[in-house]
Amino acid sequence: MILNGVAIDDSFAEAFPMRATRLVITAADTRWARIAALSMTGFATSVIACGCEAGIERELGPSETPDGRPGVAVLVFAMDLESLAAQVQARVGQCVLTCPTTACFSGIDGEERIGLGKGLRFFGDGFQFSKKLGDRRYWRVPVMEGEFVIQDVAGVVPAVGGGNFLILAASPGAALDAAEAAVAAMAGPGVIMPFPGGVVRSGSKIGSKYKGLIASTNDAFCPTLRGQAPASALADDVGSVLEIVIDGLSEAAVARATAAGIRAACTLGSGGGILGITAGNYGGKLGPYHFHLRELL
Amino acid sequence: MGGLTLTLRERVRLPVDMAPVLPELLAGLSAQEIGKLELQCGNRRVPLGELFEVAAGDPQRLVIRDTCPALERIGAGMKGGAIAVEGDAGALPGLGMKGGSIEVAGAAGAFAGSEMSGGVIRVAGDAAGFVGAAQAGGRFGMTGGAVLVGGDLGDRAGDRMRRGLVLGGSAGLHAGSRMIGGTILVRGTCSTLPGVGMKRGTLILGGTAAAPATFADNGVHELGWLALLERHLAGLGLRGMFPSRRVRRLTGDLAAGGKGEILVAA
Repeated sequence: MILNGVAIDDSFAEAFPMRATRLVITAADTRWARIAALSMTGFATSVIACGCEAGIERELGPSETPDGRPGVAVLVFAMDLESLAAQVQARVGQCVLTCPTTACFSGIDGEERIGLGKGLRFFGDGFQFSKKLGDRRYWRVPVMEGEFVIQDVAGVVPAVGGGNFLILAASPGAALDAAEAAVAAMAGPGVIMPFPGGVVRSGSKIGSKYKGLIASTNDAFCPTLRGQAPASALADDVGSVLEIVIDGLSEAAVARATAAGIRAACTLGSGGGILGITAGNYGGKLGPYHFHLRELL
Repeated sequence: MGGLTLTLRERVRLPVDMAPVLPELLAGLSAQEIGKLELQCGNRRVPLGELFEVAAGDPQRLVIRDTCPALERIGAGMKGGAIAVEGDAGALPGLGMKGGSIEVAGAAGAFAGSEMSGGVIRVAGDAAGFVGAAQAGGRFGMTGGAVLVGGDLGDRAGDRMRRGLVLGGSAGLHAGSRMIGGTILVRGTCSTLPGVGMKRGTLILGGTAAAPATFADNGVHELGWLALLERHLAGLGLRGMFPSRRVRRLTGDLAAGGKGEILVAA
């Protein structure tokens, strides 16, 4: 399959089940909501070492938030409910509670729930105040600035993590242009691209020659190892490879974003130095979600 | 199909216990069978048909017409459906109610919504004392739901209330007395000594009131959670009810070791 001169590999991305929640962070203005969200989703690129994967889903207008202020929707993904709860509590406690003017709410309903204000309320040292409005409980935690308002629990839904595709380009510049175009096109409801700027330059393979390392450089896609790696997957004209990793609230959301990203990456075409699109998988052994690139397009 | 309609034949003087007249209890009964149901009236039991004219209809939308204050415990223990009271309701409407809605076109007697845990009671007129309160000897007043009063609240509104919402135009003596949780919103002001014995919970007053000396004045603040309350009220169809987001925060009742709050619009 050729798209705008770019070869689409007959391969598939392999993704795995995760648990996810959506938090709505509001503040006096969008700037402060973004500051809190960026802080909270920092160092959350991969569960390999960060404990969770998180990112900003989108900005929210005042009419879309519970307290009628501007906000930001954040998605957080983890491998299981317990680690998701621990990560959310730590990150909200350190990055949202501490951030001027913010409030924090659950942005999704789910059969499962994790504590949000349920644990953080204890920061109030007995001065915290519970308010139950309808079927939702909120906590008002007195802080030096005034009051921090936080919902008691957040909904959790089954999710899909590790969707991906790789852009094979003639040069690092071409790869970066295509990756940036892809990330811009992929942003939408229900997905995040958790790596810096949405892009991964250091895709990994499982395991290493060194004991204790569970992942190491994906030598098959390293252009400087084209002649040295035991099984290089790169043709002679490939000078740089970038990967985009996608976490989504559903298989359909990941599929939509993947397709949009590949199409956008291919708009530069072979004339723009984009040579191929492929995807990472482990032969179907890692996860139940398989995104066949050609079928998506 | 319209709602099942009960029209009071003539005003009664002795109290009538309306608790058996619930949407869930009338479901599947014919108008004739409903007419044979016995209601406690004073010290005797009287067939419902002697007191009311019954017009068949959907029992989930029960209408009680030409009512008078002798009709007590309307909607007591109800779990779902709707009761429209076209007139005044006697004491204890919605006692122990768990769900559904009661709409009273006139005034409501004492203890409206007492010990209710869910559902909504709307009263167009005034509600007498002890709205959402505990029964004598009861541990808690209402633990959920809402009592929305278009007129004024009587004395001791929300006494021992634990959760839920009470709304009224003004309030009598001791609003929020011995309150344990929940929210009372008084659009105007209240009579003396609001919040006596308050443990937790929030009493919001639209107008100034003399709080007991056992409340600490924490100054004037703009509280973000009031935006949540305003939106919650809007969800109940109540707009423009909110006095102010800028409030003086008084906490107490310190005489009872309480951490409740009276928020007075500033």
